[in-house]
Amino acid sequence: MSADAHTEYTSLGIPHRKLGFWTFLGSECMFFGTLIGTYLSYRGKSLTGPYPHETFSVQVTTISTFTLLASSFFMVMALHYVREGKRFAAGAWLLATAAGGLIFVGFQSFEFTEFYHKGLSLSKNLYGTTFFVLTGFHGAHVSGGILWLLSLFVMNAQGKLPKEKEMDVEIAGLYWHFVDIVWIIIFTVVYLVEFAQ
Amino acid sequence: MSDSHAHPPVSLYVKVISTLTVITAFEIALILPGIKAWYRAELPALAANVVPILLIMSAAKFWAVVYFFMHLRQDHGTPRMVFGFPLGLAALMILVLMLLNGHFVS
Repeated sequence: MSADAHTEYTSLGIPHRKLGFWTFLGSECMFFGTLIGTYLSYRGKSLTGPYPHETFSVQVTTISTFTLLASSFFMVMALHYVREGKRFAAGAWLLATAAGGLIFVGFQSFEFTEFYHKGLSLSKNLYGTTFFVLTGFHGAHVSGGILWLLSLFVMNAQGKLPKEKEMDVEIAGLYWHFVDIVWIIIFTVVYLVEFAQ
Repeated sequence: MSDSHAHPPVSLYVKVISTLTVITAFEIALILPGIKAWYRAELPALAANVVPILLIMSAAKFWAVVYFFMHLRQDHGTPRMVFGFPLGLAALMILVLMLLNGHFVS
């Protein structure tokens, strides 16, 4: 079988880059699983405040959650238009996705600052340590994704992202959706369960 | 073998994001103080199981994003294995820790 821009012969039936990325995401599942597990293990075991119910703001987290969720939709739209060869639309959706991520990181920075003003820091108590490490690593992943999306946007603007390179956008999309699904779990396990109890 | 498969229509993505939005709105409604006070008084069965319900809704959202947005429904075989196995392990660890630490009690 010829190995043109669209097809690549592999014995596993999936392009190597894509399979490699799925494997990477599998390792990321264990990484975040460990961080979430650590948060859960130490949840409710802080000896000094501030405690989660004294710091969390459901309004702020709700807005940032909806923003990140929407950015996942923007990402699939960007991939759709790259596949269609519609450069302008693809660029607009890529930019919208990055903007969604930026808003999320902005809200996270605001939340971290608020928590710090309420007396919570990385070394204050078990809650501070496990919360900041977990959400901080997630925020770092989102920030990396924003840079990746912006680089794709620039490539697209320069005409270097034709539909033959859809795999580049698809892999960036896998990463972006992954940070979204990690947040889906963090939002429930860290925030919603706290408010529900 | 090629990686060729039919690309999903935009309407499918719109349906998925609409469903995700509704589920998220429902999740948030469950923790609002006024609604929480109401179902604790009127629906004790719901109040007792609100954490498992939240986890099930979260899992449904997770699955929808992976299956439709990440196109895992089209990537059969190896991708499902290399992603699904560590995901399953991580999910199991989280659930066991929640169980051991009494986080299901609401």
